[in-house]
Amino acid sequence: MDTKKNTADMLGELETAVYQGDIVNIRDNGPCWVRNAPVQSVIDTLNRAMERARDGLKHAVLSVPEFLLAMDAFREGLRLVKQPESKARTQGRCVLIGVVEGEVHDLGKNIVAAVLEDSGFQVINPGELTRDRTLDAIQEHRPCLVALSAMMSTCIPAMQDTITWVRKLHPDVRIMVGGAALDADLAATIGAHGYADNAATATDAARTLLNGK
Amino acid sequence: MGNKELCPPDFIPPTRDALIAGIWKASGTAPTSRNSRTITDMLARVADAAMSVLDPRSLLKQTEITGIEESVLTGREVSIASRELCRLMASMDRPDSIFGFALTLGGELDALIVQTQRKSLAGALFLDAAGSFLAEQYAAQVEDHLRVALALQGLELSARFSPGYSDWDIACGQPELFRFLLPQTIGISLWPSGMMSPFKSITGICIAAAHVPHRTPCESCHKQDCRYRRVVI
Repeated sequence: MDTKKNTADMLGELETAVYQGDIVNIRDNGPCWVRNAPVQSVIDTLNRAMERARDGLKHAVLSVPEFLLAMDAFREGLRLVKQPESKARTQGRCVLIGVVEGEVHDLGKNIVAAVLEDSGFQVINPGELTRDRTLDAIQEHRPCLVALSAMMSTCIPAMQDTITWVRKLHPDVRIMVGGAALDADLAATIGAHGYADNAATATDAARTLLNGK
Repeated sequence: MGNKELCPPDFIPPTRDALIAGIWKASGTAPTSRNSRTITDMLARVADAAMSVLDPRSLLKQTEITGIEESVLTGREVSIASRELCRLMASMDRPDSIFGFALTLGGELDALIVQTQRKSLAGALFLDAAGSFLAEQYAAQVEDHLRVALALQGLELSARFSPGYSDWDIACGQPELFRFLLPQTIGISLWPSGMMSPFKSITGICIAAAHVPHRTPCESCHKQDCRYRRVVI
């Protein structure tokens, strides 16, 4: 490590390492990079790196796995200054996300949840969302958006039932759906306001749905 | 000929490089020149971790075809409601048997994916992709094994076909196939949604006939933009 490097240069290295998802580099050199930097500067650097990563994902410069690696690196960076994630992120509009009743495969949903959280949404992710659990969670957390995922076509009726009741009891709440069992046409047919094809498009789809709200 | 349990092949694991290439493919991305050392290292670790927890098991069962209607194919112990499959069979010369198979990579891989999600979503995504690739490899090996064995008897084999694909409804097809195959005996259980546990499990059928000019219902399926559509093999 070049001891003559100033703090700004070293934070620049941290930013690059986070953007590139280079966790090993952060683990090895991070403590030195942040040694003389104020905590807020480190947090700002980490957020800047994630802003670049989000932009990279949006413009297909980064793939979803590369973006997720950047998120892993972001978390590693927060450990350098012993800050919880919630302190480092702005808590924006609330999204309730879950897999519909009967679904057990939730990796895709968790990835979308992480991407939305990274994009500034406050994400409530209780896991499986039955109709009643969805309605209860809306009462409790007052989300602007409910995001439902289904991988199996057999779960679409449960998704449609949930959407029907959310629209009936909470007409202000937007509903976005996604998952292997759906496409944009089916999403519209079952009453969803919007559809996200994958994690890379989920943030834009959510923002479009909430535009003006 | 009635129903017959057959000896399935042992799983032949791919090389590490082949598995890494398969992980890229199954995760829907491609390696680029900018892929960092981190991602390369992670893929190598994921490939090793996936291989270390595999517990591959499979079963194979044959049943004689007893009827082919417009939209239902029946065997002695199983019926398959698929107009597309029946249309495919109409082009076959002397359809002979239905071969059903079930296979799994075991529950430890599922547990590892869940556990990895807590630490690294990228790692979990790659592990999941590794599982998808390995399960498909295993299914291809079962199919190839059957094809070679049948060729010795002068028979040809269709491509494998699973509930949920084309017009074979998963809600009815998967329970029906479970009744025929009893995959519980190799540790596979069925959720009400039609999903299997362990997740990285596959069930399906192949058709044996004297001549199989078209091997997959995808060739005539109307879902032209289906992401799972198989090209003509």
